[in-house]
Amino acid sequence: MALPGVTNRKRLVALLLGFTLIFFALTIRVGYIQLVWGVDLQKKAADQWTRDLDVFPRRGVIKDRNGKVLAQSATSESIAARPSQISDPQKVTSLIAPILGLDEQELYKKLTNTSSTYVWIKRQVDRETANKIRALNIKGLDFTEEPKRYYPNGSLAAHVLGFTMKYAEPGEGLKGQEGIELYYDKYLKGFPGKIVMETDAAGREMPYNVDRYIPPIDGLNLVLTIDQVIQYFTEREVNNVVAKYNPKKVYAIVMDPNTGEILAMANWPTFDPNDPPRDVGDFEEMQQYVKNFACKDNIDPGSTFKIITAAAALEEGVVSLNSTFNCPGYKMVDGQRINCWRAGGHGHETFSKAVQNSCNPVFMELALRLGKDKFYHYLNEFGFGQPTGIDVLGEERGIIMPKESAKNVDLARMGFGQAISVTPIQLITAVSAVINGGNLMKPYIAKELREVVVDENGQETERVVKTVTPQKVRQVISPETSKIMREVLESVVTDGSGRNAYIPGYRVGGKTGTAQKYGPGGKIIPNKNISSFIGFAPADNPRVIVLFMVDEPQAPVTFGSIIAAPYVKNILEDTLKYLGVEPVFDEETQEDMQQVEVPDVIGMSLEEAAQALKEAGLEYLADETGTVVKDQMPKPGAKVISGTTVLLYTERGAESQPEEQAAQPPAEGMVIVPDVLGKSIREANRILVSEGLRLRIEGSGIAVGQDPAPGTQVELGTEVTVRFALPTEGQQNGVRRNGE
Amino acid sequence: MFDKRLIKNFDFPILILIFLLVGFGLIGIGVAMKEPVEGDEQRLFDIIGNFNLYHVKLHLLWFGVGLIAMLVVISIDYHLFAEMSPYIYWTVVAMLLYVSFRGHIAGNARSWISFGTFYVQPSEFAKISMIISLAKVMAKKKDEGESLNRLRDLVPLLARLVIPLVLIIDQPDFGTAMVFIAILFGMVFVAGINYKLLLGIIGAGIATVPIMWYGLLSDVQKNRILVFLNPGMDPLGAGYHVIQSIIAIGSGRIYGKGILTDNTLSQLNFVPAKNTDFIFSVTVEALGFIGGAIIICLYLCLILRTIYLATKAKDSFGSFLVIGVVSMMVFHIFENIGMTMGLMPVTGIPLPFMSYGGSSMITNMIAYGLVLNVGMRRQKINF
Repeated sequence: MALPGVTNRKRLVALLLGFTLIFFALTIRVGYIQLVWGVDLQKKAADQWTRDLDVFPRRGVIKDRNGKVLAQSATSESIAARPSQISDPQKVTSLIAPILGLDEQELYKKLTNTSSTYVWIKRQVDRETANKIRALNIKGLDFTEEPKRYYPNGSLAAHVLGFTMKYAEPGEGLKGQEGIELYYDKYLKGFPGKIVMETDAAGREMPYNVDRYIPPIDGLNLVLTIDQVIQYFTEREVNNVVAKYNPKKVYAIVMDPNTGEILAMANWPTFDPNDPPRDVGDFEEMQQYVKNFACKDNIDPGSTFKIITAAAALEEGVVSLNSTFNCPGYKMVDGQRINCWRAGGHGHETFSKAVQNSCNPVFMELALRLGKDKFYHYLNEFGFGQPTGIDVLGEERGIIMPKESAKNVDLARMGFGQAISVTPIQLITAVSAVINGGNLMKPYIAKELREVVVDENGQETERVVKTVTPQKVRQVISPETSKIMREVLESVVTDGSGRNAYIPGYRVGGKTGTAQKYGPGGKIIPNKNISSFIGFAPADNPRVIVLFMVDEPQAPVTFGSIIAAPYVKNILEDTLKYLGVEPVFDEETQEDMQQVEVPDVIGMSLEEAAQALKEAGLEYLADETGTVVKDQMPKPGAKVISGTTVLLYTERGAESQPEEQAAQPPAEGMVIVPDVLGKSIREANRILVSEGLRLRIEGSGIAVGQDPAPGTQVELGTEVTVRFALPTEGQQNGVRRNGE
Repeated sequence: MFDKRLIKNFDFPILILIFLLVGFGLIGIGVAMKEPVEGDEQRLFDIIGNFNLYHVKLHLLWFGVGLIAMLVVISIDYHLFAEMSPYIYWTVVAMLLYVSFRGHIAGNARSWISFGTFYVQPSEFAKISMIISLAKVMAKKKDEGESLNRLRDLVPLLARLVIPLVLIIDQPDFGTAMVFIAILFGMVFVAGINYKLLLGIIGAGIATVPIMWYGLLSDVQKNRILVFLNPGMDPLGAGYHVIQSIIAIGSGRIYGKGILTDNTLSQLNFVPAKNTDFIFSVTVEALGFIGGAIIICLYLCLILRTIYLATKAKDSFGSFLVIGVVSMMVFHIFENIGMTMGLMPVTGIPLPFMSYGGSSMITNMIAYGLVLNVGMRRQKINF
């Protein structure tokens, strides 16, 4: 046996130990890299890739429920420079500074700063300007494509949409910062691609070459529940109330009460997402302008909250339609006197009448009859004190005092909408549950996610990836109670405080609200109120519900019935007509709505015409072209319901204009396309419908173009495409209205 | 003829360990060569479809060829290799000479002989030849009772080393040259070299660094060593690979990204030479720390078992053969895994059994054929 000698054995053991040690070292190193460094290394990866060129994905398009584009992505060009490669900075500066409108000194400083390898000259310039610079053929300038977000409707639905960062993040693309853009960012943004360069910055040969193009993956398109047209109606009314009462804030929400779909949501003050107020200061300050107040402000609901108390009381059987009450103008609760809003009180009244009168003592009584447990049970069931789950990031949950510390006085106050804070979205969601048969629905804004698919022919089509369906959170009250509540709330509009929301031909239900505001120390601030109205229609089968809250209107009388109800009426009326809900005149309304004959006012002066129409019980709407009525719609002799608006087309009286198109009477079954330029969507629709034409809306605002052109003869029922653009200050008063 | 005891003494644990390591290699190559995919919704069928199994199949083929080579090697008594060693030695030198003039260049080095679509790397086989030659010299010294206390005792060893070494450095293939040095060191260490002499040689080696720096190393190699000392020096150039490799390993975390995960750093080509030199990064990115620890552990078991066989050899020649192989293995493993983690400078030497490549696989199988051969013939066989 030639066994290795003693030395060899010792040496072998040493070798064995040495090798084992080496393998331990390897294991420790692997463990250190993977377990200790792991997280840092992911970040390091991003740093390493800076030598790779980003290929930005297309951020998904946001559309309204009918496919109208609300937000889209465009590419813009950005110009950068490599200072080390600029041979004559002085000359380059004098060449490009005037074209780009840059300060020469600053530009020169940038171009001569050779310590940085890459500096932005100007980002997001239009293609034409970029091409001008390109034509100069300057060495050391670099042109890159950058994505840019564009909101074609300007401030329309600004708070809902939110906005993205101004510039794309390296390796990320455009990131959402607020609103839907933020909430659905991960679907909208897509995945950036890369071009991996073959050589390093110095052009040095590398031992292993890598060269690859990784294509970007575009973001998904998002379809919202928002209807651009209804959103426009809503914002128009918000603008109107702002113009008239100069309030601090306005909240408006339009919802489908049966599904929880948000049809429109608007806040004042607003902003333009194309240029959000980034310069107001830090993120917190910016939030004061850009956050979706309707979901993020806790405010006192006031009397609109009585709907909840009434529904709970009816459901629990502590009151019935026939119950009677007596209101002396106040109620004593545990020795404390709480007043009714009406000094002297409402005297004897039924339950319905109490709701119509919005009588505070009755609702204190109802809350007390329910008791703390039941009352808090319903607060919880209706979703107060908890987020609704709407797809808005950072939704507030309202403020309810803890059940343990609530005394009878607090209970009574809560009964008529004091001593409780809610978000507007909570309120409209809860009231929807009251009127829709008792179902608390989860409100939502995003309806569908769609993927853009390119087929073999290069045609882009959309494929639905995900559909959001209405989600019932829970049954709160019975369908029977809901039906009673609908009738009671309809009576508020027909016979009670909500009369200003009455729309002839439609059954409208609703409730006014006027909440006092509390200053520091819990003292009521005089003349500072939140006036609100919540309305829905048709009352027997609600399709639309509108909440309109005006914070601190500047007006001597700030009741919700005056400040908010008329605007809700306008939104409801336009929306119902737009949705194709036909007005119904039953016999009862028929009596109110007597038929009248439209007088012939053509040739009269505007004042005479107005007088004649008023006598006939009609309203009118005239353009501002002139002072003499040239034409009218409907035509003289037509039978219409009293109160109908007659459109007057005017011309300057002094210069008798030659008759142009009207010289040729239209042929059988043909009509002449009227001129709708300068009209709002609503007016343009009326005009066209009255001529037997159909309106196709593009954009929103005031009509700026139409096809076919005015005066063209077309067949009845032809669709007229009208382009609308948001009005600027000057155009807003282009149309005079009476009756307001 | 073929003795039953040969089979009785056949060392199955080593064969099993080799199979396991080749298995991990197949996983690594499969993951590395997977096509990057777009989108994130993938059905299982698509995922499997994205595997490019061409290299996996070839790796299996080379393993099969390697097994045959191993079988041939173990069926010949290893003493025959001692007798054949001059012929083997000069054949390899001839091949290396051919490469020096007519070789195929890849990755900055003229190291390959082209046979149509396949390339053979003679420096790989030179390692085997060197192990056999050195073992023969060492065994002769040992059996004659010569010590290794003086520098001139090393002369016969160095004489055999110098020609292939110079030819390989000339290619230039610094990594393989280092393997030769490692083999020599392993053998003389076990042979009982005087510690003073050993330290003296190491000291002399360090003293020659300036000579090597200005004389022998190419710019690429110098750069690699500089970058090894400070990878941050050139994060976009030569240090790029080490940093990307470390990032890939680190992003695997404890459980790894899994074999089916798409678009790992490796697949996106951020890891260089992903199916050959940097196979460890790819495998560990997919299998995590757990996978990495298992692989290192398997290598350790293989090395320990091989050393165990060295103690069981029936003669000095067998013992030195095994020590030569184990020295080569350890250097390969430590250098390769070390370089993927920034512990060693980047050289193009593969990870035994896992890296894709025919020459490497066949060389390692032949080397282990020798080890098993020695193990099988551990007892004197009486006819």
